[in-house]
Amino acid sequence: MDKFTYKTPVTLEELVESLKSANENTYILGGGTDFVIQMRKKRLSQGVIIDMTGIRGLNEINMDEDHIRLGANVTYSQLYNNPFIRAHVACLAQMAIKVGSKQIQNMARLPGNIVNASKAGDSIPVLLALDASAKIINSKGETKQIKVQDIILGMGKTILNRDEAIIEILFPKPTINTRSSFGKIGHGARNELTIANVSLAMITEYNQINNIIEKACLVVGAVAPVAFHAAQAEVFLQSKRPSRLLIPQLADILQKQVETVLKGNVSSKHKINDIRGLAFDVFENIFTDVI
Amino acid sequence: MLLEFDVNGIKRKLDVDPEMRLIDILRDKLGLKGTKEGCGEGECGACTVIIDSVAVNSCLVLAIQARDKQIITIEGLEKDGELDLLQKTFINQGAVQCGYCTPGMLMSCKALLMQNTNPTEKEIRLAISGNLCRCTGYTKIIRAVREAVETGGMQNG
Repeated sequence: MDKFTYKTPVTLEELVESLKSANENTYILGGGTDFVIQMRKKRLSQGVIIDMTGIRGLNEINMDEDHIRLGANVTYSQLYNNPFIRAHVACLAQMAIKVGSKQIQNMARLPGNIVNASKAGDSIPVLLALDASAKIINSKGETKQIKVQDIILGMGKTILNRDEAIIEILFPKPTINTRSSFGKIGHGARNELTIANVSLAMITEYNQINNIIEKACLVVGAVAPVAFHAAQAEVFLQSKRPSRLLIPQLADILQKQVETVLKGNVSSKHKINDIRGLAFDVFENIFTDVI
Repeated sequence: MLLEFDVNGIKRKLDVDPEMRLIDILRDKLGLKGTKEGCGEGECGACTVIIDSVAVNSCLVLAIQARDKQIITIEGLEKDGELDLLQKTFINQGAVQCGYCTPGMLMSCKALLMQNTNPTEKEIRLAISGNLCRCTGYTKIIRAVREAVETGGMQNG
């Protein structure tokens, strides 16, 4: 009896069918880069694995009038290699190339970070900054769209039920004025396998004619259990002209906010310097041609 | 479960358990011991194989996930008794020390060259950034890839 059952739906109808008997021993499998480790660590040996990777049509990056739509099977490599994403959703592409290693980028997909609700999930601050939503299907075949912000409740906690699976991530289309960047600093000797200690996603609406930042959105990851908007920094940048003089002030504001969240936790003190460095990196990255 | 896939150009049908990883069946069922297991967590890259033209950690993929796919392992690089150009340049440049990371390194480099015939040094570094070499042989490995690019270019052109 103590064996896994493995289901390989190829259509959404088959996925819905597979979800009907879902319980606490049901595992929805994407690229597997996290699941396979967990399976071995926790010595999981029974239950049902529902492999999403064979579902047709979920590996596409599409665009409609208002949204960019990423199928649940779009890998980080696909995001990075997509010319539109690289040019117009830079924060997403820059995040994708910083996830794990090339090998992991070739297998891992966005929904993994959401359903695992890991504090260090690289994509979370970017998805929050993009105001992204997830399209979720359940065992009755019903679909709903929920903001990623509202899905993640805490470390490892989401509102998702056992019989629900994410089939798409979507976010509003960037405008001609949208500019963005993502940076992270973490432990690990090398760039590629760095697990984030602090990460920062920043998206701005910058009007080049008036040289004014009309709107800024900054989300800090890996500091609190759930990534959070740096609200004061967002207010600070609004209606400002981008210049190098702004950066130290932005760094001060971000530092204060991180300090408040850390509440004097000494072991996390380095995060304060990290967020300052990220303020410089990310701001310069976005406005390199105008400052 | 029945797993049908292509390994190094040979169609295979195997009975596998769902919890078996790709590395387990490559090594234990197919006897392809060139693929090494290091960390088992996707950090070291020793287990790297190519699935449908991209490098993947075979320790992080369930065997069943490779259904209907084309796999290339280190054993698949050599053709008709002749080593792949990359294998030759690794030897020429002394890019092999203890050798444990070498199969994974070669597969990451091969995947790179399959996508990009003329990578920059930065691209080479990025391609092997998920492969650890504890003999610190990265410089020679990068040189070996450069040599393969230059020689390959001459052979083709």
